[in-house]
Amino acid sequence: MLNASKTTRSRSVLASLLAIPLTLANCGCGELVNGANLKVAVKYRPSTNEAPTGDASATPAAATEVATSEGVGILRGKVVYTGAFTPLAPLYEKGADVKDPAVCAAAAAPNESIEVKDGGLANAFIYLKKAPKGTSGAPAESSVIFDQKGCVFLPHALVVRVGQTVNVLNADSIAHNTHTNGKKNTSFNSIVSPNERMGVKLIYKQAEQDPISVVCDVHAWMKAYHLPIDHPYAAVSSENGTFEIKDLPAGKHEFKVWHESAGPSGGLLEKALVVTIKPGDNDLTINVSPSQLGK
Amino acid sequence: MCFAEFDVLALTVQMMFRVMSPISMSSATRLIFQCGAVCGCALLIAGCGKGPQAEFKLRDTTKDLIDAAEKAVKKTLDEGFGTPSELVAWERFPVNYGGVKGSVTSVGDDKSIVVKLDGDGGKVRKQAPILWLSGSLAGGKSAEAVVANYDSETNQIKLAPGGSHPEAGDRFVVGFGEDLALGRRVYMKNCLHCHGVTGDGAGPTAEFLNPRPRDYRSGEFKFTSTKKSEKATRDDLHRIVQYGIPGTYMPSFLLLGERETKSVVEYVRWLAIRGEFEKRLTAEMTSDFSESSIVDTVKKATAAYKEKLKNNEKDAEKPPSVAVATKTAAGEFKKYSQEDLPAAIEETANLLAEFWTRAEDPETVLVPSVPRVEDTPESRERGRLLYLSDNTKCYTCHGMTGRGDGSSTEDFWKDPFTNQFYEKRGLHDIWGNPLKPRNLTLGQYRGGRRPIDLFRRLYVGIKATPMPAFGGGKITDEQLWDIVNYVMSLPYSTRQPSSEAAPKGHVAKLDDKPAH
Repeated sequence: MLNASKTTRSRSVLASLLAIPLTLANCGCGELVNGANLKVAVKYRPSTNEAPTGDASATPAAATEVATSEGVGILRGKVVYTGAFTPLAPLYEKGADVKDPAVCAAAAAPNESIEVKDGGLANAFIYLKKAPKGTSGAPAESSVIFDQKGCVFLPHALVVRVGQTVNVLNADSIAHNTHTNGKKNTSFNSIVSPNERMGVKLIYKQAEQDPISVVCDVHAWMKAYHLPIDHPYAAVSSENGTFEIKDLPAGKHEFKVWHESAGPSGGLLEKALVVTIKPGDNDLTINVSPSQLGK
Repeated sequence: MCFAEFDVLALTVQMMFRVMSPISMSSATRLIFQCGAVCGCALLIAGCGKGPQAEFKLRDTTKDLIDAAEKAVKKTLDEGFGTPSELVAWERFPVNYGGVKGSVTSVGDDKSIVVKLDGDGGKVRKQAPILWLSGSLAGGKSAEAVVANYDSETNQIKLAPGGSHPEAGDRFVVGFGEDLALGRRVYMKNCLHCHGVTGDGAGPTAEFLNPRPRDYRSGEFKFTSTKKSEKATRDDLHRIVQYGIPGTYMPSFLLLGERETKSVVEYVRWLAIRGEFEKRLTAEMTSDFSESSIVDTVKKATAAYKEKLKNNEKDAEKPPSVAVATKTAAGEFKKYSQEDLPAAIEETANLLAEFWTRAEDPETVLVPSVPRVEDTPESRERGRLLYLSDNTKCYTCHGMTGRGDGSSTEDFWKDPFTNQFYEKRGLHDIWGNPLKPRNLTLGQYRGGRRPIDLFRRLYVGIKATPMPAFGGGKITDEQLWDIVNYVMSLPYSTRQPSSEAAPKGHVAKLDDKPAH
């Protein structure tokens, strides 16, 4: 009996001891220091940007040395693949067991991640890092075409001006869904009906720093790259690696060179390739080694 | 807030149960018990200590920038949006921060002013502070005035003693920021557990939830009434807060007062603007000023250099080390921050103000060109054939029978931003979260179950997901209504999947990663 009552008493003592951490735990210990209950200050900031951010007061330094009076030049170049190249195996063969085989596997799907012909690397983007100040360059053509045929995007790499209409077409007898993945542009994700020849209109509103990917959410292998840009000084290398950029103001320019296989999600082969353009014709060879493309 | 609490709680409860139970304690229990007692005492002695400081966290991509660039982004955000305890209400953005604007018509001698208010005088509360927008008192040069009384009939505000002496013509705002402050309080109480202080969808409970809470920082919301590529409206967010999202952890907050709901909607819009501001500004600098891009460039240059050495080329030039390259980048950033950054900040602010203003334009809301096509067996049949056709390919994701088990759920997809395969098969949203196409046989629709909600999901798609926009092209609005009628009949349908009109569905083999 004595033992039992002692146990009971000690139990009640212990229970009350234990209740303390329980209460503590309940009392909101560890709440965010300036959490829901704190009175919060709201500071007014007018619309007009009076608070200097960055260093707005500083007068911008002169732009890249460009004197349009000195004339304009054409840059004709070639992106050269410096190694031996074995063409990549297609993504799948003709007649393969893929989605929508009647359309998609009517022909083998090319692996366009690296394409080399006559020693030239295709689908490299070459573009001015920044538009030279005081130049507007040639206006954008009214529209460009972006097609889909045999479950392959055509073209694979496309430069498009901000505000320019991209006519998204479909030559296949099945729907595709064209989906852009811009870093600054809101994504475009639209069904493109079978045999759509009028085109669904895609317009980029912002320039992107580098090319962005375009996919189809029906056919996982379909992929293309777009470079929405706010100046005309950009090109994509052709199937044998050549490219041409017209109307470049004479002077020193910095070019970026980008390829989809230069890094897991594409990457820059040149961050700021300095080229001096003289009036008239200019040549440029850009060497790309296999290692730069992960080969 | 902290999960340690729950552990303590669980342990305590368990031990109390043990103590009360008639069975005598085993030695193991006693040990646990003693530990508990010690912990309790330790807590008593040490006290709670401070909880974590609420802060707006930077994005990973911002943290990846070189120091100077990261600081510049942080500075811009602090100036534009403040901190969780001192919010900055940047008037540039179309957010209802709260308060009533007005101007002083005449000044009395007994600390009273006659005013003309731009908005509703019912919002002028006693003790509300007055912020001077123009005149000699503007710009924080004088102490804030406080409303002692407001007479709506004479439009007279009596100012509390002390404070400032305005002049006729001065612009002011009474109770500025009240709604944003209230929105923040409501948010901190109800929302941050899942959506996080920053609105990054990474609150403490987030990782236990599927689907994950929305990360507002891209400014994207899935279920909107607006056209393609447009933001969500206040009404859209209001509806989500009120009714929740069926089939997810987002509950209904119908019990919040109207003012609380409206305020928290403004706060969420504000967080979304803040988040997207950071995202866009950082994206502007990533290519030139991020640590990872510098490392990548050096790596590539080094590989090219080694190759040249191997080939005994003369023009081989040793590339700079990462440290040197970072220093060079910092030098370039200094120039960038003077020449380009102010313009980039301006442009980003303009853009976001434009987006969120346009969202409220009635023109932005998608209205079908024809009223709902009558729900008849014929309409449903037309809808069914469209659903199963190659014109829409609905079945590739939602399955032949609408169970959300189409072949896309078995495919391995690549993240379009990183070009790497996702770990899990099936579709994903732009945040990289696995995404199941809706099972249409359950009658549970996340974006709302009104026919117009389904119509809009079809017409504009579901933003930030692979669900594309079907409207505005070859598929007519009538046809979209047919699909709506068919889809809405699915939960009550006993129809078998077989159909002569159905194409042969391709189903990928499980665990069969494609070669490409």
